[in-house]
Amino acid sequence: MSITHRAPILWLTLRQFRAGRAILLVALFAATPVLFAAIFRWSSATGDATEFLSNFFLEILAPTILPLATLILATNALGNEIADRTLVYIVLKPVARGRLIVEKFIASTLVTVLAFTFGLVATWAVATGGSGSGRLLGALLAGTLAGVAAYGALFLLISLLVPRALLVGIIYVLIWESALARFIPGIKMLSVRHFAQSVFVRILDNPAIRLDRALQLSSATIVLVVLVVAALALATLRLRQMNLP
Amino acid sequence: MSSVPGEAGAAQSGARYGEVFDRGYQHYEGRREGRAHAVRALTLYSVRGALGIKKRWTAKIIPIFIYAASFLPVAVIIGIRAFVGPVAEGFNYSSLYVALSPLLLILAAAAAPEMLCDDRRENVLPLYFSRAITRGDYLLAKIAALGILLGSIAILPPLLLFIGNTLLAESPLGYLRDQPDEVGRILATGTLLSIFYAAIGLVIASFTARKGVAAAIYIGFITIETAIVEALANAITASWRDFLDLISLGNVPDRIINWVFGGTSAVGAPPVGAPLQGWLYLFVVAGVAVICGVVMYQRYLAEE
Repeated sequence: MSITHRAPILWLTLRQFRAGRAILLVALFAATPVLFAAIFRWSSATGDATEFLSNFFLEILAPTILPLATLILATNALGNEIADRTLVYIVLKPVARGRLIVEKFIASTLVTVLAFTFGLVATWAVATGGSGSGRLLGALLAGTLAGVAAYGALFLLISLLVPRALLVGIIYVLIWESALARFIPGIKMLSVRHFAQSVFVRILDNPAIRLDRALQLSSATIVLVVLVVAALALATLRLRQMNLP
Repeated sequence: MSSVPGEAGAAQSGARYGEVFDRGYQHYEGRREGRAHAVRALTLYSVRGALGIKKRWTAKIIPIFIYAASFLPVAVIIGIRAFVGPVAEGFNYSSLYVALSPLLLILAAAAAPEMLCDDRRENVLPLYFSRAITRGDYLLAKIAALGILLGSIAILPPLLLFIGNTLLAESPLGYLRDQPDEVGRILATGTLLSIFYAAIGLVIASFTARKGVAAAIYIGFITIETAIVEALANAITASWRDFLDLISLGNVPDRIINWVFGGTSAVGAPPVGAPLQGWLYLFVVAGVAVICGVVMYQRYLAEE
């Protein structure tokens, strides 16, 4: 059986992404790290690539680039169906609501993670000159996967609750994750960014790279999985009760 | 049996065939308001649309949040100063503007696509241009609308702080005498910041169809562009790297605030190289405004 039969909504969503231009934007976001790595290489051939990549992940990628890039497809996947009033045609098909949500989530996460995998492998190769440790690359990819999955599930839920989900998501990222988390340590513990950073730091396991109040890898993973499952379950509930025009 | 009444009547009475009936169509006799009125009306309509007036409640959340976040702190601090005495000495115009700057960014990101994207998405631009309004007028109205909106955030809260300071001073007239140019500084800073944020927001909104995507590009562009330019400035050792600070767009508002209000403590992230003269950033704002205006006009010339 082909993917069109086994996961029709996933296939449909991937085709929708291919037709739209939003995916170019995600690719652009995913490609920016290479630019930073190129500047780093150009400026100091002797600089410590591990330190640079770690700081880059903790300071720029996890707080800014990752949530913005994830937002685009996660809110597009269902948000566009609502905006274009085509969601009703999908809901009419004999596909369970929960399955619809999960497949939409997988589609947006898959594409975003794939784009970042290419971007980050290139970044790692440029920054370390191809001789870097595989552990560093693994930590980068795992942290990115954690961030994309958690943000993706959260924003998918938001896109079902409010019509301008992307904007609300941006404000959430800017205010909750950046500004408030910087001033109030308690909130910092409750931000997706912190969990993604914890995953990165724990997998890297380098004593030189520290993160304030980093969680253990197991607890960070559990929290992220619970977050994803809870957000998808709430999204399913919401889709069941939604009034579709 | 004919269904056309005129024909039937003509056949029965034997009158002239093809008589013209007066159906009461009339010429418009009222005043013609002209282009200026059309621009003013479009400006007002755009401001109301961005504020979410006469829209569903979800459209009002962001404007209400922004206005509350910009006015409440000032009002609260003035109130406490009035009843309790001098508190929060560090709360001056510079620190207020630093807090207002991200709010301006969010409002521009929310309002600029609201003004431009829907008109193109729903294909109503031909309707606008079939009226007494040119492409330039249309853009002028949109720029004015966003400028008014951002200006209300960038000018009114500091003005409120100024009024509070004046009234709470030992002698209000003496305070006014000591600070003759405060109002001018507030107006200058507010106008410059509004122009800066509005120009970039509108030019990005004029290239995207989906409102949310335009907002994401706007905020992502400013933050990532700033990070890239700073990384580049760190990487360069030549002396001209100081001038890279001029194009790190996220820092330009802070530099302008520092320049206008001077003060002993500079706000915002310090530049990578040596600090530049403040007036240079004036040219940055002017350049951004001109470039964005030209690009937007070219874009709308090509529009249907």
